[in-house]
Amino acid sequence: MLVIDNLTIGYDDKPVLSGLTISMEAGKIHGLVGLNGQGKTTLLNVISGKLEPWTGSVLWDGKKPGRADLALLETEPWFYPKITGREYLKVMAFHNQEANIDDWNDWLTLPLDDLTESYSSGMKKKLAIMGTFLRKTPLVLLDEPFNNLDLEAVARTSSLLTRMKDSGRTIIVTSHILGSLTGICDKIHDLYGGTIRHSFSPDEFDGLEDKLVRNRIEKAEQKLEKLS
Amino acid sequence: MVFIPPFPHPFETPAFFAYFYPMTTFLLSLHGRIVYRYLAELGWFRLLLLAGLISWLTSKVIINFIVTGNSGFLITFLLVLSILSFHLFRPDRDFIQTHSENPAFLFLIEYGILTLPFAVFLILFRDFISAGSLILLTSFISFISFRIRKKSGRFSFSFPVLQTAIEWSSGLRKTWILIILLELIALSLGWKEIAASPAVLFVLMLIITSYYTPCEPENMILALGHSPGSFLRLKFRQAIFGWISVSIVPFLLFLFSFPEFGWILFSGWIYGFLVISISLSAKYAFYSGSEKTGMIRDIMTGLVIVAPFNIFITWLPLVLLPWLIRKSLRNLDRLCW
Repeated sequence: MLVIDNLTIGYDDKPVLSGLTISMEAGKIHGLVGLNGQGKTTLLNVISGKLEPWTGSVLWDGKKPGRADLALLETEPWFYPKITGREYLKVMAFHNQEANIDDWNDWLTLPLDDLTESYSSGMKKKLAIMGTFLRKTPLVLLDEPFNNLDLEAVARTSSLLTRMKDSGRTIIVTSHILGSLTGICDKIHDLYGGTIRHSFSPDEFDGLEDKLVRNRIEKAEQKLEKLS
Repeated sequence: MVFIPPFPHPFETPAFFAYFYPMTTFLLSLHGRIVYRYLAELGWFRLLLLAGLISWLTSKVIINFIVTGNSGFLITFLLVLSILSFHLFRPDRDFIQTHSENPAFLFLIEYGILTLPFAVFLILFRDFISAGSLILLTSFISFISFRIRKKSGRFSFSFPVLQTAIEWSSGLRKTWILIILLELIALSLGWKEIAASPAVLFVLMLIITSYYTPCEPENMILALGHSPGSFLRLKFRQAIFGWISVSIVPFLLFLFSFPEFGWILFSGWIYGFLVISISLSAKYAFYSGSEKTGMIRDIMTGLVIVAPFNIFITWLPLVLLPWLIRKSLRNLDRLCW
């Protein structure tokens, strides 16, 4: 189980997350939604250890998550320009000797022997997703995995996420496309005002978009009406 | 078809450290492949030409510094600063720290390979203090684990050039190795190693602070609907016309005032032209994605062409300006009496 307790962090003395407390059950897919700038990426960076929290703690199975515990897919994954897709995946699958890269590539069909600098942004995203799962860590953090993907790749990625969950992995995924989360997530957490405002179960997913944004849109419309 | 260089997989190599750090060894081997591919892209003829030129100039730099200037510490100082700058901003730091068992070990080997020839030269010329400092400081850098981030708020530099000069600072950032190398060559050939060190420090400060730009122009390319190649050509035209319109008046004034230095001024003028071209090609090729704009080829060809001009342009402030001041004072003296 991933336990985040009283987490506070920000940039330039301005807190982005403040007093965030949440427990995420292992072996499930957790969705993170929130408006731009609410701290979704910051939260993933803190969990992954890339950022140190100002206060609070992040514990995975009772201890601070280490490099072997988690894999992080960044919004804009970085690649060496002069390596091939296959070489990149070899790095990612280095400690996963049983993984067959070609078998995995059947899933997204990338030209693995080409240099990554010749890949489109969607292809790079596919390669990074494949690499993230090839690391075979129990905790997987995915920041906007569906960005830049075509419709078929979105469907394939969703099905991969479900399979990975079935194999016992815990997945935390952020997305701006709510529809891509409701189909796969076991919980969706609404990040607002620096903390988790509400966690939704699958039986609450119907009309979730309205629940998340309707109130704010109505308020904005009222203001707009006054202005006009 | 991608060229696979003949670097063995570490598991096939009976190397001592591959046993302890297989992943780090694999990453080192991968870095070797990357360097090899960059060199292969350059082409064998250009590579041989460049290697010959760099070897000759580097040996001249070192001999010049050590034998005549007795200032091996400057080599140490410049190398350590360059490696520190590279280490703090290298784009693969997160990648290495995520995947390597011992990132410091990997950095130690890479920086050791880079500084070894200089350390050997310093030892050969019996400058043991500089050699020892170089080895110790480079080793120390390898163990620095923090990274300067844009959003950290813990470390910040102020860029001494206006923030609107995004293109200028971005070009500077991407060609810093070239600039440092050229400065070293010029200083060596100018026999002005100590006197010119404030100038080198200023260039280094500019390079380091140029990492903080308010935004990067990738979105500009997309927003304007250009392909990277056409955007690069457009920028070339704008920059070159800009350079000509800004520099033509002072250039002509100097030329008419001091015709005896016409060839130096003309070299400097061409030099500025080339630096702009190279900086721009480096910057926009960086964002070119799949479209090939020949970044490495342009930079390396530019290096070969620009090197002699840089020597003159460094001579210009160092030799010409004191001469001008002396001449002006003499004229002033005459006028007064």
